[in-house]
Amino acid sequence: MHKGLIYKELRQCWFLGALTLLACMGFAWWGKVTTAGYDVPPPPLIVKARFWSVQMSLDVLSANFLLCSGLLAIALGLVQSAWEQVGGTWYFLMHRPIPRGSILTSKLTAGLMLWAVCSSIPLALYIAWAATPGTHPSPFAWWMVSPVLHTWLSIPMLYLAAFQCGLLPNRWHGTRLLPCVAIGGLCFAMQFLAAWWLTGFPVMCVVIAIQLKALYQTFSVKGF
Amino acid sequence: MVPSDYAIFTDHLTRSYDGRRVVDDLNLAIPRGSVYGLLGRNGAGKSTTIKMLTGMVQPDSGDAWLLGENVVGMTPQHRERVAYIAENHPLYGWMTVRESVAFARSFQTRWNQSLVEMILDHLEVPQRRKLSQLSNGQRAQVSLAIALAPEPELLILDDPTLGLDTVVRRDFLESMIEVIHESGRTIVLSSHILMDIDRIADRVGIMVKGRLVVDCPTDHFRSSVRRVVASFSGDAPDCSGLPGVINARVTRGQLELIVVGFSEELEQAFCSLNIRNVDAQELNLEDAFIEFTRGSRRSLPPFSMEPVYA
Repeated sequence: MHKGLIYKELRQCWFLGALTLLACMGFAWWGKVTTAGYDVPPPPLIVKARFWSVQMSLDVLSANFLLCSGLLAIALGLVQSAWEQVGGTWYFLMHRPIPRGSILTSKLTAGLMLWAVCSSIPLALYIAWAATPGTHPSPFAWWMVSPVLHTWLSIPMLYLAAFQCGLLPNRWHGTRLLPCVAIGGLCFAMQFLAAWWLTGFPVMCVVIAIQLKALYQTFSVKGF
Repeated sequence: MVPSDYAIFTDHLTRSYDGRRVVDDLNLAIPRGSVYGLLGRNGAGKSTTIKMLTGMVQPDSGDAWLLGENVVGMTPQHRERVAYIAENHPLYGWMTVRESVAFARSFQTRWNQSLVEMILDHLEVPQRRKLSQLSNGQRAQVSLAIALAPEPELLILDDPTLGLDTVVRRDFLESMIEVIHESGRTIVLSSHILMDIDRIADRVGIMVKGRLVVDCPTDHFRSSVRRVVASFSGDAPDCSGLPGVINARVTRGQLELIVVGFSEELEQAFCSLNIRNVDAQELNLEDAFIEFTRGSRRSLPPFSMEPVYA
């Protein structure tokens, strides 16, 4: 890992994290005003957000937060890989005298750090709010957080898939986006697994291990 | 054969894209300390060759050595000895010049900061400005400064003067000439601008459709390709079979030939074809290159190269 490269990646991608936080703040504000009875039109293409009577248990606000988190993961993965290709900066970066594996590790570390911080802050604040007695007229138990947590934990698979998409040489974007589509479908399907920690979590670990192996393999032989 | 005798040595290097051979069986041997100009028309395979040399593209077959070490799995120590400036000087436009230098420096174990300052100050490159706000020429100088700071033994430049205006190109080349004066340093540059190559390269390699058809000292190439103007009587003679003749045309009643290696054998052939008043003119590098590469590959005679494998 290379500190200079991690710092560069964070500087290059911080705006995506900031956009995500802004979007989440917007959802929170919108959910609050609609719950208070104001007639506010919903933003286009977004699930109608409203503070439901039972917080956290598959409510729409946390779903929107997770949607933002997933979009952030995809955007980060693509920006960190495909943008280097577009700008031709791979040639500059790949000729630095460090192993290719270190370049990839530094990029992934920076991307995952940024994603984890920016996507966990809104969720953590929402969970803290929901868990605080007296803030809303509905019951709260920690198990209600589980579905949100499971989905959030599986989003790094989406980040790695997007990163892989950016590295793939396919000229047709349909083929190029295949890893993202496949992993997106898997993330969605995994939410329906019973006993997630016993079934979904091991599956997720195996998939991430395969993705990392494929990424390092691609990166070590990839032409630019 | 010991590849370590050369700064760059390739052995049957081949690469295809979509079934088309872009680099075809390339055997290149560039002596240490030379300034080598790699020439060729668009799509001749220069950039792909350079990318294979720097490990950016894997060859389909063949091997390449830089400074005596194989480019497959280049170690960081090996890479530190080689500087590479890719086409269009790719740098991060959102960084300032100072940040860009600091970023590049963070990877190196050797770094000559005073050299960087000297190059940037000499051309008055504002160090606090973002790279995206600089002109092409200023970005090229930043790129050169970053490449030279680790004091590499080998400098590989892919069309470094592309898109630069005449004055900036001159400044860039003068910086390059200063670099050349550093003893023992090898420079390989590809370019479309023959004047640049003529000015600084002591050897040239010319690629045509993926093959290296010329590899010799620049002066030797320039003096070998000649335009021969002659007069003839009767019908225009057929010169296509004559040794070394690349191109023949009749203009204003005179025969004009482009010849590689003007020899006694050719002069005798002229006599037998009743060709008189033969005037052989030397060409400059640009004209020689154009005349040599404008025909199809089949029409090119074997060039009198120096032996590549000593």
